Amino acid sequence: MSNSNSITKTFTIINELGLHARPAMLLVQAISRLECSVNIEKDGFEADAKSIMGVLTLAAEQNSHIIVRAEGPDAEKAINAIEKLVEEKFGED
Amino acid sequence: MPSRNSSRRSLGKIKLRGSGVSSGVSIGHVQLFHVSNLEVGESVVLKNHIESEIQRFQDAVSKTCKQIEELGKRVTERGEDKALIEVLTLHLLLLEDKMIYDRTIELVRDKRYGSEYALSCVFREAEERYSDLPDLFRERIKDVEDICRRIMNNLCGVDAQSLEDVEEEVVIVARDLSPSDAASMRSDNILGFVTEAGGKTSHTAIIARALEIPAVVGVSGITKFTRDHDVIIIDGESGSIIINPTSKEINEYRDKQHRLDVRQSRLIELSDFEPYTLDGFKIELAANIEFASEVESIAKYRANGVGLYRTEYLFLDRIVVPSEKEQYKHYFEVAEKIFPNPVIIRTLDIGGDKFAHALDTPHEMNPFLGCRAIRFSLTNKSIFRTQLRAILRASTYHNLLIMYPLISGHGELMEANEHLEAVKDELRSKNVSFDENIKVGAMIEVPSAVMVAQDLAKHVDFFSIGTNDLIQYTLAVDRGNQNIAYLYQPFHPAVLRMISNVVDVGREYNIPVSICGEMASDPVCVLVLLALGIERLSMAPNAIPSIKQLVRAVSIVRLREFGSKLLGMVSAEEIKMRVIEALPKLLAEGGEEVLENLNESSILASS
Repeated sequence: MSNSNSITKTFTIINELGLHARPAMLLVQAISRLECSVNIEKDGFEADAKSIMGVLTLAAEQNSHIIVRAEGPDAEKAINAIEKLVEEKFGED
Repeated sequence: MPSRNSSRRSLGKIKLRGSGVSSGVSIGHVQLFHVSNLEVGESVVLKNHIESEIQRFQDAVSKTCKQIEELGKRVTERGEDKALIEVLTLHLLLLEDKMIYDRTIELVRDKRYGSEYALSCVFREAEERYSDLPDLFRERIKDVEDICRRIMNNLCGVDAQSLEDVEEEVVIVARDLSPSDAASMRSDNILGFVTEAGGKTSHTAIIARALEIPAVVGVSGITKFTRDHDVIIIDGESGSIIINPTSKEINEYRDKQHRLDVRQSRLIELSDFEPYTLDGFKIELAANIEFASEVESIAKYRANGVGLYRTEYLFLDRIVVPSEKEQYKHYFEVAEKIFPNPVIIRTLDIGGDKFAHALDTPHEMNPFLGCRAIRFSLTNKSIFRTQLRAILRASTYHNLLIMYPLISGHGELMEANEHLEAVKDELRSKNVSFDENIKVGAMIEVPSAVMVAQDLAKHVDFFSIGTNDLIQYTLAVDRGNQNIAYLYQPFHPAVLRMISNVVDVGREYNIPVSICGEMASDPVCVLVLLALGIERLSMAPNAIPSIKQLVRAVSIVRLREFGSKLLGMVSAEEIKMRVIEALPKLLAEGGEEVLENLNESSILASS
């Protein structure tokens, strides 16, 4: 599903409150300086993952699935960064 | 920020009234604090001005960015609020968000809109996009609004006001103050606050009390009736406002200011004494607090511990529910600093008139009769258990007590206690230490709880009567509704008999009954409460000295005799009259000074 600079991966949001403000901030901050475009799709809606407004409007609650698509030289870094955040429940208890 | 109104002539003398939420008198010059309007009329720019228009917008954004960073730096230096830093970080991200930044530039370039108009369109687009989202996400539109307003301020050339930079002594007059405004209000030059919006629990009120400066809120129309540099008198006790007063009035209030100062310092001297009545009864005088940072005032006023720690303030204006660790830190800090005195922690009392952005509170037709307080906690079990866990873990000094708000019946109490037991089991299984004998209490503030107090008493270690809600629910009077304010009667026979019933049940089951509503800080109300058999009161820390002075001038035996007569009376008016008549008799030797201070009672003021 990936070539040299385009990666797609699906994640399940496991932290209790979902991708609300703080997790969304962490996500945007983690990838905003990377050299790639990152899109997040949820239930047919798509948002730019570098836009905090965009990520929030996805309203990704607990147990929702998001499809992350990264394209560009830093695509892998971006996917890894997001994976780490999701797995660590964005640092929430 | 120089207001548009400042060039207009002053409107002459005007008297207004709101509710005084932080006592004291201030006399100073008005500084209007207002935010730019986001509704801007359509405007277009000439084609050859497009690039300079874009530049103007970009300049406004970078100026805004610098201002927020600056504010963030100051907040960090003061070591305040992690929560606020989070909000500011979110704002910085929004500032560079392409849905705001790029989109505004796009509208200027493609449609030739003026920057202000383009920005207002962008905000409307955002509003639409957010309108259908679940609460937790939709609430964030407030941050988008905040940031758009800041940009707008800079676009319009008005300096975004920072209340920290205030150089002359002023009274701040505003429609309302946002949390970030409130955060920047730490100047010695601010003499007081007046706002159109807000109640006793608004940010303005809380901050003013923490800074111990006078504040009056709920003053409708104040921003229209006043101009920058008008002279203003505010009385944070009575809620009176006088704009452009006469020199006679200024002198009167200077006198009052002086009297209050003298009284306060005398009262503080009195702090060394314990609150014993003339006939040797000790009346416990505890403090109500909202933040861990208030514990210093408790030492200053010599409170007998904390009778009500309102934990919901940890949750308000947060973009995320505080974690167990963070809550633990706050609770532990209070427990440690107040030790060996007790601290009653009230679990989350959200809903009604207090809403938290981070919490998914439902929109209700009738929030005071809705999913608030313990009902919210029992519906949002994981938030409730997290809080209970944090409290238990912080209980190692054995001086914490847990109190549930708004218990309306046996079932709710049992359910809350089950959660508590489950959390205790969980901690035991993990070998986490906590106070195994931690005491649990119920707030009595719903008439049904009074009626079934005996059933509740078997399952708790103490009662605390929340008079504000008990009055509002007993008399079916919205305490925020000015039209029916006359019906809000603390001395209504129904209210006094309810209090008396709870006191009786407390005696029968041998559990203490305290009062933690506004009545506990009103001297005349306190006389009546003591007459009804109450022996514990919890109030705003700075009310303690004058209540202590009162306690030391009365005899419980004489008061109780009087109390039994009160219970037979049929109207609030009659009760009030009889209390006023009896005052000189009830206050024994040395009571003249106390009597003088009774003039500050709002019960008397409303007669």
